[in-house]
Amino acid sequence: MRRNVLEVKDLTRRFGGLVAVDGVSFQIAEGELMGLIGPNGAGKTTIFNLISGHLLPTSGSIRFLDMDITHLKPPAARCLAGIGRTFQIVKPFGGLTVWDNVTIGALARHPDMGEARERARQMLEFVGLWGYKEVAARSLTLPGRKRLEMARAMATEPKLLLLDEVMAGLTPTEISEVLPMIRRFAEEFNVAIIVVEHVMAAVMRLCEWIVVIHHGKKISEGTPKEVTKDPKVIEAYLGEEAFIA
Amino acid sequence: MKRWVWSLFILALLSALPLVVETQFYLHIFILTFLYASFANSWNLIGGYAGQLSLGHAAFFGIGAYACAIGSVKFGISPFIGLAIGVIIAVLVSAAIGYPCFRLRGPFYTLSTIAFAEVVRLLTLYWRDLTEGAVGILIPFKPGVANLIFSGKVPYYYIGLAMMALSTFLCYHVERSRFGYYLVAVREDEDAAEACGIRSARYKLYAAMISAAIAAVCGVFYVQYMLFIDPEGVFNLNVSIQAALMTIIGGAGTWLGPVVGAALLIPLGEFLRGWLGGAARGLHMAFYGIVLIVVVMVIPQGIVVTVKNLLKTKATRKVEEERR
Repeated sequence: MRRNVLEVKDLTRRFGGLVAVDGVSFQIAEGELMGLIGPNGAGKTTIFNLISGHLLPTSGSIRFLDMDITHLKPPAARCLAGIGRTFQIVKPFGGLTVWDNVTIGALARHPDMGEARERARQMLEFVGLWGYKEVAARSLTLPGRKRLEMARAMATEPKLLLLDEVMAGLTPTEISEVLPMIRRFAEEFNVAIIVVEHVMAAVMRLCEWIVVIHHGKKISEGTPKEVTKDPKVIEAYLGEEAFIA
Repeated sequence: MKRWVWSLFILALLSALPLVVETQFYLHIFILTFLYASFANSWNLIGGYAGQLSLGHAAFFGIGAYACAIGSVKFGISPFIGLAIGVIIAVLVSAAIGYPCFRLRGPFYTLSTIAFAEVVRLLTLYWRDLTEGAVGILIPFKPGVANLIFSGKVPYYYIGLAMMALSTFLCYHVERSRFGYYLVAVREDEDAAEACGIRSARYKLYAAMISAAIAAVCGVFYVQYMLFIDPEGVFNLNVSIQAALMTIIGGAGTWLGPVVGAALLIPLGEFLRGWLGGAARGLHMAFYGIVLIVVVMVIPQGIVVTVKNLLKTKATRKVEEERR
């Protein structure tokens, strides 16, 4: 039986009159890969922000490794507790080199500069960016920046990693390179990973468990097969497409 | 290693200079340059590395100067104790400004520093019993190490040089340390910095406090050198702007930037003032403005970074471009 890393219970967040996240509950065990999917504006990124501490919930609770972190501030404290994340709109430290970017992540666990740089080197090799180590982060291409964000988040040695659309805007070839990387990371470091993703094929191939969010509510949960057959899920996605059309 | 050799070489050169240069005016310009380079170094910590624009550093500078002057003239205490008191007050004050502001994002810190410097200026103007108001405090000329007053400019030259060397070394060290990396991370993106485990509000506060301490030391040097202090001289917005300006022109967030900026602007300003005379008072400020505009338009990263990029060989630049 694998230990639960994260337990989210009845998580709710309001923005004025809008309920962005409405009573969502789920859990994830170490080394597990979970997909968090749903149509645009469903509240996926808000859930990430609540878990990473960039937002605080209106109600509900978040337990991380037997710690109640519902109101733990600031976000840095959650990173130090063991939650790493990437951002949907990538936020590299633009003026710094690729190596410096990842070193800053590694410094969270290795106060010694030499050790941190060595750790950063390993992570850059892991994501295949070592050749770009002296390049300014802002001059990387978008797929490069997404990898950089992953390397930086991994360098903080999280127990739980939140990946926010790291495959959006990537070509199918690039996706097929990133997928094994994420899987390897979960396996080698025994990290629980939650991915928010719009590329369905990728999510279905990658994740063991999928939680579907629609209008802030959890509408379905299960293995990729179960979820794709769920009429509520189909309706949520088809309904949206019909609306767009 | 090469950097060390160069730094020591320049330091040795500057140390030997007073043996050759005897013109008081030139020594004066060097002393001012050292003073303002140190002051700009202090600004660089919070404004350059941490990216928190302070336009009220005159307040910390002036607090140091006034603490020392009031201490020695009104209470007869040693300027060294006055220095300690000034530094402590400046650090506490900067913490009081930073604590609420660094929790917020936006222009609040900048606005607060401007407002605070103004408040201190007005306070010193009206609290005449203690500060002599607009008349200013004249420090009696009693040379001696205990009084931190010297006859002749050479001792000030060496103290100023040491101050600049130490504060520059501090910045150099910070730039390569975890602390410096964290400050730069906060400057580049606060959300991402937090996600990397950096308590951004705390690190900004540390930077602001260290910065204020150095600024206060500079203030003490100023008053012990000038032997006169008045509110307009130390608390004027110009003083704050100069610190920012020299750093930005030289290269904010680089250890050499403030020194380069000061070495360029202070002599220029002094010579301009000398040539133009009293007829065109303040014209050198207009000139500063023009230089700033040109720098921001042509080399927004400052002189140091631009020169560094120029020195990069064509080959490495080509490699970088291919990677893009």
